[in-house]
Amino acid sequence: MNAETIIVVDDEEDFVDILRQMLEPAGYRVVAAANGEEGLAVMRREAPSLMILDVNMPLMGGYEVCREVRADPRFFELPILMLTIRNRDEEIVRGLEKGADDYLTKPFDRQVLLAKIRRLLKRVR
Amino acid sequence: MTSTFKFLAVTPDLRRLEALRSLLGGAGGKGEAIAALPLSDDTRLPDCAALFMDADAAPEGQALRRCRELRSHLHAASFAIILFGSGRGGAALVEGLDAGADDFWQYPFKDSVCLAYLRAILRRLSRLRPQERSVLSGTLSLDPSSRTATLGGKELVLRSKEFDLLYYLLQHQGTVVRRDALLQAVWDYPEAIPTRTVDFHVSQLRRKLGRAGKNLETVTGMGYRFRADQDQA
Repeated sequence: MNAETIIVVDDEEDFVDILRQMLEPAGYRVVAAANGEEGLAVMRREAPSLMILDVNMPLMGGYEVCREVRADPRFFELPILMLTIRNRDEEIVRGLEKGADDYLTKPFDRQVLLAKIRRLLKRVR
Repeated sequence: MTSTFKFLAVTPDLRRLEALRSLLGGAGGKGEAIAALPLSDDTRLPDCAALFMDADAAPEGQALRRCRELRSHLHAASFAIILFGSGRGGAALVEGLDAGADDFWQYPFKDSVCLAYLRAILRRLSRLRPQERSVLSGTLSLDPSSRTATLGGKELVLRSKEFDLLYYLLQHQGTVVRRDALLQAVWDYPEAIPTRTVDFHVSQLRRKLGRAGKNLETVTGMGYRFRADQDQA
């Protein structure tokens, strides 16, 4: 099976490990980056199928990453799932307006995360 | 998201229908409501950008079944499907997503959040099949199949590259597109080279667009953005 690669951009190492433990058994390959700048570099190198993106990170935050991804012709179609502790309505609206395709707040339900990923990875003909 | 979009809402519940109408109407949605979708042996697909189905409507599970049927059609991925209902927690969302819906909205709706999700979904769909559709913003409309552009109901005469450039920017309405991305998409240039081509065409377009030309914004140091119509005060 050809595993889809998911890039996780989040500065909390423990959280990245938790995600890894959720995603790898579901058949995904996980690559990680600890901030936005590194995230963009890893994305360009690994060409992932989907990005899971935190908002608050050092160096370059999630909103700026969204803008950079959408401005890159190779990646402007990359599905971005924002996964963050920011759970106020206006924060959700802001994340989606900044270019995220979907949004999930921490803590979250593993089944919901996996269902959102499956849906975002469905190719549209 | 384009300034207007067609939606179809399917629910027997008049209060839910009214809630959807006011929510979507505020975002430029123009739509109709029906009590039930055509039977599954009807192969026609709903002619809309977004289809809303009440997950609680009888018989039980019908909305999910219909969702799966629609998604099994070859071209059914071109519109958004949003289920809504009283379901709490993640189960209804997971079920809906796996049936091919793009989202599940809990009723009563949180308007601002729902709209943001809808915009994100429509934006993603238009990114994924960029070739066939007409794009529009306000009274400006570009049809790629006939290669015609109209502004305020009158034909807008554009040169070929002007059409392609404007079409590309409208497809990415609201987001900044880099100069090198434009050179690649419109002029087939393999890599960034120093040229004023894009800037020249943008200024031509601004002139031809008249008042609507102000939506074609220069983003210093990055590129250009066609401002989404809803951003206008």
